[in-house]
Amino acid sequence: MASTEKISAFPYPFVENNVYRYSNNAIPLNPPIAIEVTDSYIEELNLKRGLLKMHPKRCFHSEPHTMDAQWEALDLILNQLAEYYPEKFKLVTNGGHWIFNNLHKGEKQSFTFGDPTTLDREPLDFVGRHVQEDLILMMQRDGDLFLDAGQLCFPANWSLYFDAGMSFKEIHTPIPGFQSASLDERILQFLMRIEAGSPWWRKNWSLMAGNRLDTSLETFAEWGQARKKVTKENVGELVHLRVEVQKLFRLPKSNGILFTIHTHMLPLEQFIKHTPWLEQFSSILQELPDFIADYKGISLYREVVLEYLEKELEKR
Amino acid sequence: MFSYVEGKRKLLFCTDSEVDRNLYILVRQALDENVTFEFHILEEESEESFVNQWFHKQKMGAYLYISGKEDFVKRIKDVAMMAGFTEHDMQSLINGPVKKKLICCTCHGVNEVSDQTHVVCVHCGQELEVSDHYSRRLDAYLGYVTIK
Ligand code: HEM
Ligand SMILES: [Zn+2]
Repeated sequence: MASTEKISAFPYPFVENNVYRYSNNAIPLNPPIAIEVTDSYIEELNLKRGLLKMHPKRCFHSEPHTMDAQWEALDLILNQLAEYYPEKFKLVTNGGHWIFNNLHKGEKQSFTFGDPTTLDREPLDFVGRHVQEDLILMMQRDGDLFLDAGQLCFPANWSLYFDAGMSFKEIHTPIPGFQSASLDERILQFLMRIEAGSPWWRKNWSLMAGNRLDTSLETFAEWGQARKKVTKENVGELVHLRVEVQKLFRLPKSNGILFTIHTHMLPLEQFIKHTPWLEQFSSILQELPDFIADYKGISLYREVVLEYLEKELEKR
Repeated sequence: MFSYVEGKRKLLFCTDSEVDRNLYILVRQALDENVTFEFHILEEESEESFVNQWFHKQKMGAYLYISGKEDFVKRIKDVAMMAGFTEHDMQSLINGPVKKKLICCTCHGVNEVSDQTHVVCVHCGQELEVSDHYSRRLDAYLGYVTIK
């Protein structure tokens, strides 16, 4: 259940600025690794596989024309797992014959690369079951990017089933202010220029009441209730900073973009132990415009959090 | 509103109701200008094959006006398109509510809505807020659950 992690590994999402606004905050990714294996690997994998089993329509979608891109994504991820975590994963490729060994999980799979009949799932659905990240494939055509395949178990309140097939701008229509100053257009243009071998990444943050990773829009009626249960007694424990580490890789053969999302969570009581974080986050949350707080779902308990942060600041 | 398009060889009018007044002014104008026209009141769905034949026997330069409830307009439009009419060869006007599909975010069930801002999902009973998040794949808008 506890999908939170150690403070030392937490991807702190803010830069120098004490004011947060939507912007293109993507930066080059070095080293160029699409995935990260953390201490909660086994736990999150089990959770993922359970969700995929119970809710296949909610967690996986693919258009038939994404098959080549799916194989490319699998190629990239399996190779990186074996390269960067050699004690946990082994990959042997002998021509088209591949053997992937997940030593960490105790699973071995052999298949013929490019031959879907040799895997019992689609390539993206297979590889997604070996990483903590959610995996989205954006296919490029007609000067636009379309969400044509994805495996999504830990969404921050959106629906893969509903968004499947949409263009980049269509996906982002629910975000207030995202169209102003053509931010959406500028980000789209940036994405379409991403080149193979030069990946990018960004962090997105939110607060959430509760510590579920599977905050799907489909189950919002359940988990959203926790927003009303935040009190000054439980706020440090109940409210979490939720950060998505998002990475963008161009797939050279299919010309698609692989978008990986690794979700991290830390309860406020842990987060505030680091005084600079406490100070900066307190001013950011204080200043945050209502339209962003509303969209992120913070408004119902923002005051309680602010009071808590101020009390903690006084103690330092 | 409809606009009268000049210079057409022939005008075709159709409506789903005798009491529909939307076409009245156009018909008057066609009479005044001596433009050939045909007028049909199509109250039964079974008249589809008649409509089909009617559209097929038209020659180039025919222009179509459709007036009626949303379903009727959609249906007649489809038949016309199948018979070779394009969006440029016709105008339509919907009487009454325009329905759109709303997908329930909780159960993915499809609901029909017109101009409400909130509906109760007919499939799972969840109260939904109608949004303008639209999926072309599903031809539907997204209905969100709100926490109050
Ligand atoms: C290319 C792959 C991407 C996909 C598939 C994607 C998808 C999404 C989705 C589904 C949402 C939630 C929308 C909703 O409420 O329904 C979202 C939110 C957002 N996206 Fe993206 N996105 C991508 C890339 C980016 C990039 C590159 C940026 C900026 C540089 C960006 C900026 C944002 C922002 C600011 C939000 C609002 C998040 C919040 O306030 O918590 N996205 N995105
Ligand atoms: Zn429903």
